[in-house]
Amino acid sequence: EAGQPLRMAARARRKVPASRMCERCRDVAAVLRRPRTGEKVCKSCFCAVFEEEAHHTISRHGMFHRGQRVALAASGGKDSTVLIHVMTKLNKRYDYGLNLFLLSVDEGITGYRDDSLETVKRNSEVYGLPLRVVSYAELYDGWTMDRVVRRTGLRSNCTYCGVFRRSALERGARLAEADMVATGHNADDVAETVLMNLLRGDSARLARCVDPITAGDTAGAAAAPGVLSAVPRCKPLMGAYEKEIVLYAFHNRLDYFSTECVYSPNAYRGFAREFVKGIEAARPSSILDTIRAGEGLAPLFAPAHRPGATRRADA
Amino acid sequence: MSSASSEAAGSAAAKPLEAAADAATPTEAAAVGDVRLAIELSGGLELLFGQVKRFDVVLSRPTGSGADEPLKMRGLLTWMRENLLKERPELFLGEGDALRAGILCLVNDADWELGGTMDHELEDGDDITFISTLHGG
Repeated sequence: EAGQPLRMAARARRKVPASRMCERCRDVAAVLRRPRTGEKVCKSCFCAVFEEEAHHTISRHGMFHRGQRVALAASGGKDSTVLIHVMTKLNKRYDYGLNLFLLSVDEGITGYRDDSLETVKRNSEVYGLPLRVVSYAELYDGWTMDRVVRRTGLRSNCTYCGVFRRSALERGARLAEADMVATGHNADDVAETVLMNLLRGDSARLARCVDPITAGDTAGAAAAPGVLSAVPRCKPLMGAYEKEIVLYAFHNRLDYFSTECVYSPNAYRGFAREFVKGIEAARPSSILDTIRAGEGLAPLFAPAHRPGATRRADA
Repeated sequence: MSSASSEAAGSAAAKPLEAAADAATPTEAAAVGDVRLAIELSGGLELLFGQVKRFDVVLSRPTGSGADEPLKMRGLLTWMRENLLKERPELFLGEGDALRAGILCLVNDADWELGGTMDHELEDGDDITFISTLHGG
């Protein structure tokens, strides 16, 4: 733009104070203070440490094995776009030896999902990864979310959608012969889920929601009759703050789709999200601390410890 | 968008300006005391600003007790509410025109936290970016 040379010239004349320098390389001005550690980092040190930490999360939990077909759950949004970008990089850099592809779920939400699917198609081209799309319309006999909402109204529609989507993801993973599904859930998501499950007294979910790898239960595998266990899922970005995901996407100029789903305004998660954003502002470590609390609570809610619980054959 | 002008004693006063949805050419050199800023909106925020993703604006430093004070972010946010926001201000600003939690602010690509958030001083030539994180991933 025409005004830019003038502004950049004005900026170039400024000096960077020592207190604003990157604490890692000490070479360049810092662009953010990491929420987890308070460390000031420049753009390249930030991207490097973000990727290192994702790699650390992946290896610490043994999320992948050489030769696996890994479906990257892709919605076109910021988390899945960063997931695709980082997984592609790490697969190459650390020679994971994975066969990566994109798996996308079309819930049939006009104006939301059809637009974000265009973004996924672009991701597929940019990263050179095959794309498989599964739709509610095909899987559930024409029951798109548009049609579900027309029938149920705007209460509990997110609950239906969540159940349908997990099942659709499972079905798609089977059709594509995936050995593992990776989702873009970030630390904020996991913290919100811990709080939601606590507030709703959902002990079954509390037992599982902080697991880095979840095999799912037989109900989740109901999409594939006769099969006992679902395709396992993992969350490579679960240690990453949502804020850092957004900044990573920004600094790498990643192309993602960002609009609120039109049917989501009344979702219960919205309350948990507002709360988490609020406590994060007051105390950034709260997000990882909440997850740690969840990890402490999870064993207390595991089926074996619940009074009167019967063991399932495949538990 | 038509040019906006406002005169507010003790807060950032705006010169008549062009909010450019396309690349507008500022034809005159800025006068002393002018703060030329580029404001970029993403993550869906443009919806609140009439679908415009970028504004090139010129503000004047606030004057108080005879001397020019630096223009601060809090002044810019109030000014944006008065001049650029088209709808649902509560989705951008909270109490006292503070930036809503979940919206990131970058000054020249650096997190505004590094410069004091609401008290971050803004200088001539700065690029301000607002990114909403409040949507699905």
